[in-house]
Amino acid sequence: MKKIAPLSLAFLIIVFMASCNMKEGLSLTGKWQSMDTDQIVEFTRDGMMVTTMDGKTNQVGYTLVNNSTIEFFMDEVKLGTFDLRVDRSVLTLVDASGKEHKYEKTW
Amino acid sequence: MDSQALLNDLTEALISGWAVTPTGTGFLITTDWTWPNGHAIEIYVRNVSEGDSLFLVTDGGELFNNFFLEGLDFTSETATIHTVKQMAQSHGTELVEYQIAKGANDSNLGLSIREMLEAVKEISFYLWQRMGENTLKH
Repeated sequence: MKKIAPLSLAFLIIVFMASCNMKEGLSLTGKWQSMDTDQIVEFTRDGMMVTTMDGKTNQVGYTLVNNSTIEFFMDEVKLGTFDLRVDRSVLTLVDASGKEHKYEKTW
Repeated sequence: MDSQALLNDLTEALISGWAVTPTGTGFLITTDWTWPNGHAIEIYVRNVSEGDSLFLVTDGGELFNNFFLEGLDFTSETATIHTVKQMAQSHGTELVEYQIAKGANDSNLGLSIREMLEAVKEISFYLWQRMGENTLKH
């Protein structure tokens, strides 16, 4: 009986943590390397997307509208809405013209 | 002349006086449309996300600058600014820090530039009329 109690507690903790992860939904936070160019994209926790390519850095805001749509903005100006897919460690952004931009998670 | 020939002629005429100059961060579009003072309207296109095809299209603040240079400052005129915001929004643009701005991507950049041009031209007419009231000299 004494062995069962800690196991039950561990099971409950695992279930709790799993449910927390499910509630958090999609997270893009971290760095992503373009699979087509040298571009590196970083999504920060405070809602910014920092892109770096050829030594140039740009920064725009982003909002996850839902788990399949992301919206970019600068100041109060909406820049565009992209479809979004995350398959394991590959992020795919699809722009309004249907062009796909693929990125691989680096960390 | 048939309708297609006229359409082709119009297409050529509408942009023949324009220039697109690459800048370090995007493009400067010099149009043959003019501000009320006769100067050419220029549209600024800035690539804000390399490779992701996101652009910020603005008037570079020239709309308000031109009137300021004429001795007029509308920035404290709440009702005027409210109207300008509404006019900007009617063309899908925004008034942000006294610049007319619009987001764009690869697929709608040309249309966005046209909408920007229509917005600044219309707003400049409105402000030009307000200027005639001659009450806002700074």
